[in-house]
Amino acid sequence: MLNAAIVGLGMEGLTRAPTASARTLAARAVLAAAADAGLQPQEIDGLLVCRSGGASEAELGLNLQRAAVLPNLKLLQVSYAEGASSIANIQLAAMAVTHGLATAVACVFADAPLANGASSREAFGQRKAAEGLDSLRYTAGLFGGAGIFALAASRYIARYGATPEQFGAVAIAARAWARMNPSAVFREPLTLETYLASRWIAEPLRLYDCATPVNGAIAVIVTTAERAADLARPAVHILGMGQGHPGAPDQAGFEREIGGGGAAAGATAFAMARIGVDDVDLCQFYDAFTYITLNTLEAYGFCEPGEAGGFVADGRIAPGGALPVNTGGGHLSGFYLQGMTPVSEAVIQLRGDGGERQCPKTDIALVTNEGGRFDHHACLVLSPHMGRR
Amino acid sequence: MTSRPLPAPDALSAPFFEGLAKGRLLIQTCRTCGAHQLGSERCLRCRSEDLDWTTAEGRGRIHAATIMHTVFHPAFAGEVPYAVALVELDEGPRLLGGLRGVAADEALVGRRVRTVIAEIAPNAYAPVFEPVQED
Repeated sequence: MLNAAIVGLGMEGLTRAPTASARTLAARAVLAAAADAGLQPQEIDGLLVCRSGGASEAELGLNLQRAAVLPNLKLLQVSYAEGASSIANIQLAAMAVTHGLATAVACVFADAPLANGASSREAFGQRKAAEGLDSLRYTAGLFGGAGIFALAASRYIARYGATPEQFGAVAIAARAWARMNPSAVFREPLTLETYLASRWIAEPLRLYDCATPVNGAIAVIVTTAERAADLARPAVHILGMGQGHPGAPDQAGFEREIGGGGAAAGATAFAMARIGVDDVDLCQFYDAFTYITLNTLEAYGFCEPGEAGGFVADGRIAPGGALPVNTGGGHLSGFYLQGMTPVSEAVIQLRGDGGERQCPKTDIALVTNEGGRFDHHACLVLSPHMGRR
Repeated sequence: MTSRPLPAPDALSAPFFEGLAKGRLLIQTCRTCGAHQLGSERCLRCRSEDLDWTTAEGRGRIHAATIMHTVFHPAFAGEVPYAVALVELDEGPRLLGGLRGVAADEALVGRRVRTVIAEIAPNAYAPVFEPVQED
């Protein structure tokens, strides 16, 4: 059985202004997370690092150990599963502390894509090198995550008839949550009218369908439930976890644009946590694009395939709705720190630190990470309560 | 003006790009089971490594499409808005390319297209799709 809890949270940067390097931000976040947990830096004996797909080992890698001055590591590695990396690292940390490989593991993601004066599209348009057939992306002019997820959204819309208003409902819900989050980048009201009038990025995705890149770092500390009980802040227990990697090719008979690894990850995680989808009180999804939220709701069985647009249309995932989703504003209105954005908001909510946006019921949170073109998925089931052992 | 991004052939895709330069759209065909594909060193159906390159007809149907409105790359500054499509060739593989000859407000997914091999820069070739009538 898993015996693991998140006990520390450190958040640095979260800004579109120029900052220190990703490595410096990561070191600060790790040390802040340790302090938040009530641990000395020398008590951190595991460090699991992940970085953005476009960043190099020199920018942020194993060198983080020395940057954060952590002399006593029994576990150290850089992990890469695209957007699923952050949760994949927390899963590894949970297994490590359960079995004694290490006792207090820091998991961190950092990125500083926005240099002085750089726009999001300059930062992310061609951030990843593309070779072979994949280079046809750039020769055709399909840039950024927006291009790729616009293709995916077009497929979903053609198959199920989802409307702009339904995509807009996801963006508007995220903004309504962000308005109550002091850390969110965009906090002005967003109406359906403004959403529909916003410029196209890559049709069918508008400006407000896309994430808000920032420079920043987020770290968490994972330890055992027993040790968590003696530490400074309320423990957030890891009850379940799962991954899904469908490996679908671009080939007739496969559907890479709809579906993905969420269903498999959810089956594993829910069985481990001994819960069903109806037990989930709130969700923190990897919502780099509005369509990913629709896809994730369907993958986990909150609604049937093709029905997520209707599911979100009446404010169900917005403040006051039956299923709070991305309660800090997510990637869309909050800040895009890939897999760590949803993790951090889950920790805040399950500790009861949500302030104005605190959800009334937080017994079970589902946290998801999405990577590639729905190729790599990881999730956590978190709770302020210890699981049944 | 920055030049356009160019194809970056690797070992696996080199015959595909060499084919384009000769005016042929090549796909992989499994010598063991006959399946067609692109982008894998192993047959996706039977896992055989015994693959051949054969000429595809270039006809297919749009699987997914987008109209790019944002200038992510300076070479495309004069082209926005432009369409990009992921096309499912009749033989099975899906291929990404520019899409020309479509109206701004028309539904793209599901349209029949043919493949044209375009010289996007001197001696650099990429597939481009054009709509055709339903068969």
